[in-house]
Amino acid sequence: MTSAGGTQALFEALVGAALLGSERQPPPLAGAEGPLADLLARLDPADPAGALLGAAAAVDLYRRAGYPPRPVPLEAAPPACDRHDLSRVSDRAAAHLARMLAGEHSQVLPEWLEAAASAGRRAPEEQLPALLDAGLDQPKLQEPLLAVLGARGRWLAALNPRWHYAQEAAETPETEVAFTQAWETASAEHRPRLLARLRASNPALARQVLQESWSQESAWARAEFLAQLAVGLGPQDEPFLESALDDRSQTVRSAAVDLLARLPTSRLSQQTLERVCQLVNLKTGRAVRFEITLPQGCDQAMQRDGVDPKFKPPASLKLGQKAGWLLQMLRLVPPATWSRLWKQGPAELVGIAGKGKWRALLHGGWSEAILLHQDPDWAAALVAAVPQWAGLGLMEVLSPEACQALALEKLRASRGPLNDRHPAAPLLECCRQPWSASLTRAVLERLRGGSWHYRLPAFARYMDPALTDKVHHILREGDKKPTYSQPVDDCLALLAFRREMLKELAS
Amino acid sequence: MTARWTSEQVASMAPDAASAKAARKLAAPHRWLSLARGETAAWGEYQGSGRDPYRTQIELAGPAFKCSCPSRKFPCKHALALMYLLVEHPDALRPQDPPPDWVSDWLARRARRAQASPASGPATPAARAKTRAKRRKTMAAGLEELERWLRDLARQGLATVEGQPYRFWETMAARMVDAQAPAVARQLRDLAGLPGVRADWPEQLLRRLGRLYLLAEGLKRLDQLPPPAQADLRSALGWALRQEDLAQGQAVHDRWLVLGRRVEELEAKLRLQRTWLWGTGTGRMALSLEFAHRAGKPFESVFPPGLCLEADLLFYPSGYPLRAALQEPYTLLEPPDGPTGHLPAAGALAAYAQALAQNPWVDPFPMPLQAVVPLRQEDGWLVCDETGGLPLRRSFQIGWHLMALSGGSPLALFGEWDGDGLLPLSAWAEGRLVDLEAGPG
Repeated sequence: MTSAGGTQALFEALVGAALLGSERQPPPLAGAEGPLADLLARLDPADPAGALLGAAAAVDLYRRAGYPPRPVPLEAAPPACDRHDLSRVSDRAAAHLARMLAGEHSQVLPEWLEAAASAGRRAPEEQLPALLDAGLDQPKLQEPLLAVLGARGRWLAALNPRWHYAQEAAETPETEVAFTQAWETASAEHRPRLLARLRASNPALARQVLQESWSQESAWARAEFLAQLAVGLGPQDEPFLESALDDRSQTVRSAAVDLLARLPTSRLSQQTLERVCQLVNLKTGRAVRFEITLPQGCDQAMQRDGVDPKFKPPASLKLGQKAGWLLQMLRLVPPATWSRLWKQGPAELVGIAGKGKWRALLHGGWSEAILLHQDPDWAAALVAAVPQWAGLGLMEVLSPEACQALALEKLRASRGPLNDRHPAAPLLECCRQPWSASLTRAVLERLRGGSWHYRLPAFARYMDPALTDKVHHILREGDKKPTYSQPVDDCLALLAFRREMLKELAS
Repeated sequence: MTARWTSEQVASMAPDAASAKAARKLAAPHRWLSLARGETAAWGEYQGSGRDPYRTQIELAGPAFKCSCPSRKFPCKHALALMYLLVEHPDALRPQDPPPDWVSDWLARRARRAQASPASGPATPAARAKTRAKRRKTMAAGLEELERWLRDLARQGLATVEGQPYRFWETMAARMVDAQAPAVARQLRDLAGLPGVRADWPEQLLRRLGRLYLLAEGLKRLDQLPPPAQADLRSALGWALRQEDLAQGQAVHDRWLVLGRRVEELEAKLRLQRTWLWGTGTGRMALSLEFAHRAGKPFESVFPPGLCLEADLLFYPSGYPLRAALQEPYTLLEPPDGPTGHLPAAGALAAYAQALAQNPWVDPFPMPLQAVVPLRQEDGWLVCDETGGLPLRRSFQIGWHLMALSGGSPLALFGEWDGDGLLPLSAWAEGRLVDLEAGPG
């Protein structure tokens, strides 16, 4: 019997000879034993080409028949995953997920993931690779998909370096020692998240850890980490943040300014407020209005406190350079301060500003302040007064319910069909959470006779799926012959899909 | 209907991805004018761009499809959509008995066709023998030419092929087609893709050239071979087998489980469908081979993995009988919930050696493996058990899915072994057979 090694060597010799050609040298047939050697001996040496080919065929057949299984130490295999796991979603829900991962209705994948997570189910095994890959392509999906990975998904993610983001996110170092270890070895994308998690449980320790490694971090990393101090922000952070005001990098300095502005007791907050109060005044009396003096200069102290002398205000506001400085300072003051100071509600103050000549400056500055300080009352007031600014992020300050309530109010307040020019339009665009039944109904009513059908597929993502039949009815009425126009079809398809998938996950 | 279809199985019946996608969009009950079903069939009417609605119907037992739309694809998107509706929204199809005329007429015609005997090829034995002899002569001449070409190549050395244009292979391949040896032509065309592509191309090339040489030599000695070996050699050359040859075949009755299905695109719009069947009672493996000659033409029977049929299979004569023809009538059954009679890795390789001894041309070889764990190594994927590991073919792209399905625990797998690597076609997970060839979901 020719051994496996012997056969391999024999074949390799044949390959070598074949490359050169049988004209150059006779085929090397030595090295075989037993029946194979007998067979090879029968090949005619007077026909070297034929002998070479014949030998190749015979040896290859011999080799294939004798193919041994590869010795694999089973310790090399990863340990099996934990069988104790969340229960798998149903087959039909799995089919929905498969369709979304393949690209169909992929925009509602986050909704599916959330619904599955709330139902306490995990994604089906066969979709795990596609799901984990989707998390790589769209980082926004990472958070929702972690909840549906289950033990199996986390096990799988740990095996493939590309999917380490999932594994990292699952680990929460408990002790200080574990944290420091994780802190040193984690990937650049993961360290900010680690820090944020530590901040949530132990803000002082997190700050301390950050301070220790501060000098070795890159500018980008320093800015990222500083931003994580927003979690659990408190007066004890002030000294460190104050020192960051002198950092080499502009991004780090800006981040420090923003955080200090959110601490009302900080020196920066109080000094900025003082400066602004000298420039902005509410005149009461017969004609209530704002009086503003523009700042004459932008000195070193102001610059250190976050005012960029070269800042250009947005063109739509039509403000000059000095107004730009005041704008930046206005941004740093929490809007609630003004309500306290001038003893008027946000709606009133916004209204007063709206009637005066400094409307652009005040509204502009306050809108930035609302975004920095996340003040829902002021957000609602400003959006109600200037609905076209809804898209600037003001609506996201509000809770989804408040958002939709505002949109509904605006919708009901103005007659007329729903289209681009309707005042409620920008607010509706910002309602990016599932809509309440009343909002859905109101929008549907207004779409009748309107020319906004092309927005339907986008809205279908948020409309209440329980009203699918009603949507179908309203959009179809008046059609004697079913000629389906594209947006209506797409809307109905998406809505029907959402209804099916949510129903399947809830059952 | 005795068997349950799944959405994945419906998707695997689509002729291409575009049809599957289009069918998905149409698979909404509100888009159809009417939907109904009966005992053996389901049908519906869809308003397309024409004046009259399209009439789509499915015979459940086949399944067989018919649609009045002008599409050349088969099954068309309407038929596929109707299948999806049957699987996902069965309540949308109301029971109707008797079916409308246009359905019952078609069903009746199908029943008549199934009874009529297929008349193909020459009728009398004498005429058959004459055609055979003629073919033998043409083939022999062609293979002689091939042999001379192979010898020239061996003499000059394989190093000379590196710079050769495609024409070098194509001319010989065309000659083989003329010589009525299409399988040989196919192999020659495959060779064109080897030189210079992988590091081990000389080894790969020599192996295949050796095999071709063996075929040519074998044909010269055809009459000296025993009949089963003759049948195998003819098969390896691409000499199509006819139903008449099956008169000597062996009929085996069993409950057959479809373990794997693979469609390969060959040259000139020719498609080859391999359906592997496992006899749950007899423990035998069978292969149903079907060719489809035009782009839109359907395969006669499409059986996705997981389907179970009680039927007679007529095995073609061979040294290692694998190829078989499904005999009608057959019945669809509920699939079993677990594998039976699979082998460990070493056992499967031993079975392969045995098969090679009986039919050296067997390729690919069906390998049902009992309990293997997928493993990722530097140079690729493996599946292994305590008897050893088998490498997976590089063309298998979804190793991670296998990993996810196994969860690190052993699972039962079925695949095709080509002597070098395994191509997994299906795996058992959670009591179900998952089709790996069609892709996940």
